[in-house]
Amino acid sequence: MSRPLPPAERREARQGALIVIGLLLFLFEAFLPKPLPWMKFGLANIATLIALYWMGFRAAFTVAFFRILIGAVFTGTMFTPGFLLSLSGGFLALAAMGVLHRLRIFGIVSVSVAGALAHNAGQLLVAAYLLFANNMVLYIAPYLLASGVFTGVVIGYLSWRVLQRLEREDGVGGENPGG
Amino acid sequence: MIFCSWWGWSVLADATSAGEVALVSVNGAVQYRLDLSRDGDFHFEGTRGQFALRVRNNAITVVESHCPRAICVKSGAIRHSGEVIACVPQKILIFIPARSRQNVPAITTG
Repeated sequence: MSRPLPPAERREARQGALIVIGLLLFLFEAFLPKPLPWMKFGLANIATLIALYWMGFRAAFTVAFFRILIGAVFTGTMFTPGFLLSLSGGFLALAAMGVLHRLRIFGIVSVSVAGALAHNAGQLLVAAYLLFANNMVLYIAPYLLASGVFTGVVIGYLSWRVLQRLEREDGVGGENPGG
Repeated sequence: MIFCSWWGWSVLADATSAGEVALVSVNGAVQYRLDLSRDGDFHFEGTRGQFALRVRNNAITVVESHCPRAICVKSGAIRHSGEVIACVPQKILIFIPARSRQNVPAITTG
């Protein structure tokens, strides 16, 4: 093994790795059949959550933003209405997770659920007021938010397991993810 | 979260009756109004290309859409008020309004 990288470069490398991991999860999910047409697990959020707990909010922002951007290039949805939904959901989710993480009274599962719900809320609001200009879209809000709670718990749990493993293997530079 | 779910369910509560018409909105404006009691196929241009709807047995289905993932086609049929099929790439929204809100001015087809 080569000698360890200086902290700034290590941070950069980790962010890059998390972007790629998020991207792979995003693409993997895009090819999976969906149980319901509007339901999504949000596997890519695992990478964002890990970045948030491992390196803080700015890293999480970088990871989420570049994943959405590059993901749009891969799926051919750049600057389409779908990309707008992705971006609005992504930003609101990131904001919600950042705030709840900063408060330090919520565990990673709660933060993940908040992210999932904020993602759904951001998409619904943009769909209802910008995209379709029709508030009928809000009728699927109850289903969407209910599925958001479920997927948020699953994603939060998975991220927590990964972070536990990171702590054990890495030991340095990690915050305690909490319960 | 509690507020959201309360609000959601209260909205849903008046939205479970069988629908009479389906409204089709393209790019933010309601353009077609389809009578669910009359079977038929409807074709029109969306924002990206062909779009085909089918009305059968008081339910409406998207049968063809010129969009990459065709999530609207996979959504299946809707028949109750409050149900929605959305095609994001085409900016098309098909919805069945509650009885009290069905008289939206629109071009009548079918």
